[in-house]
Amino acid sequence: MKEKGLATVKVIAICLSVVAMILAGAAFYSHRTYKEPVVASEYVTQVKKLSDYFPDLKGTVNDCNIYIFEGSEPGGTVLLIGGTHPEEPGANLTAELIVENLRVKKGKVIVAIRANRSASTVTRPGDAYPQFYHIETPWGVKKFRMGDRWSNPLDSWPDPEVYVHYPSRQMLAYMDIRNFNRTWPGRKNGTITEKTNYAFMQLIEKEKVDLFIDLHEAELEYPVISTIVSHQRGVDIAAMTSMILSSTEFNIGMEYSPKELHGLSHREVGDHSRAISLLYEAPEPFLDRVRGITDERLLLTGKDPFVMKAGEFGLLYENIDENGWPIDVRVGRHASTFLTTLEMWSEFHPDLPIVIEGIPRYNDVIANGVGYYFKDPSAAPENRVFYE
Amino acid sequence: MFLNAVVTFLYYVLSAFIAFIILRNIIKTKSAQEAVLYCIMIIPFVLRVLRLK
Repeated sequence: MKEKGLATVKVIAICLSVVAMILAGAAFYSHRTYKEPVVASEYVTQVKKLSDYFPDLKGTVNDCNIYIFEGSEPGGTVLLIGGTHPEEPGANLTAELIVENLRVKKGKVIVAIRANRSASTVTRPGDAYPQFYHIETPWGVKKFRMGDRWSNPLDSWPDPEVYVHYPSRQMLAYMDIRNFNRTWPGRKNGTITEKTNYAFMQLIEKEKVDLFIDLHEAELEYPVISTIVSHQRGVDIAAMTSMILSSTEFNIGMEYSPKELHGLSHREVGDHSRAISLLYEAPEPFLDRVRGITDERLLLTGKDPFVMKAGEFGLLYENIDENGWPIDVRVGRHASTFLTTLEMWSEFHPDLPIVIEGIPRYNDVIANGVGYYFKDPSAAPENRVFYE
Repeated sequence: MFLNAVVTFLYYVLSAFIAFIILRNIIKTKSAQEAVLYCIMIIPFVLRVLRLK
């Protein structure tokens, strides 16, 4: 090619490269900095920051909001967290539904919507994850950040060759040093993920939390699905919750937290604090490796012919049909499981009751859609609007 | 954690250095195909240095 022709190609290629950089950079930046408005229920008592319990987190990406609801009568204290794995939207949507609608009559309820905020600022472009998803509400469309399973490498880098869990010294996969549900109970001087776990342990200690609940979703190829995983101190509550829900609303199992598998909330929170720890799993076909087109539609409808085909061959641990697993069903499951768990807690601990109202059950969420329960931030008083 | 910070810093220095080498190759190459290829290759390194991805 002649000199002039070559120079022209180079200039055009550089210009296209710069345009691609700007477009990609803008998309990554807008996702990382997008703020989700939350209209806290009028009955919220106070909204703290996680750094109020561990000042090292102040000003970091993981200094999330802590919503506290106190009843007029004393009782027990429950901490519920969503957003452990932000690629599981049923978890943070349920936590937000609770924050926007809750009224506590007895006891105290503490909620974190985005427990590991860092992981909600990154997705998996290589897996074709959407950056955002949208929920229809009576006042318009509400936009949410889709996230990943692991904290953003921009916030925690490099990963070790092998992740040695603290304090058990169990060896785990290298990237799980950024997995918020493999780093419990956390470490004061660890990575940002470990520090976030540590901050939550401080919160549990300072707020005298009795019951801890961690919301999740799972692929249908994974055996721990549609279940409550319980620390051994919580099996009576988990088993009763499972039996009642399975006979009245939907099938849900109950499993013991393995004693030798470390870093998970259902194991470490129960072992290292006074709180009983439970973890809920709902089905999310979006996470299945055999899935087809990976997009927002699959995330929200849970409909996928390839996952269905896997089910026909008996390769799944949960049923799936042409109705899929819509987000309303998954949020409804978590909402009803939470309500029934609190009812069981209050029966087993009459001296420490936790009585709440305002939260819809499974059938209500399916009938109305989860968006029905989200308030319009533009119509809400400024002092009740918070950002995640 | 101090060593992590050092490795992270070196990682960004390395990314910037590779981006610079690719840019230099874009200018020096006599092949149009290579120039286009280098222009694609440089994108992730620049985004990494700018802490966008």
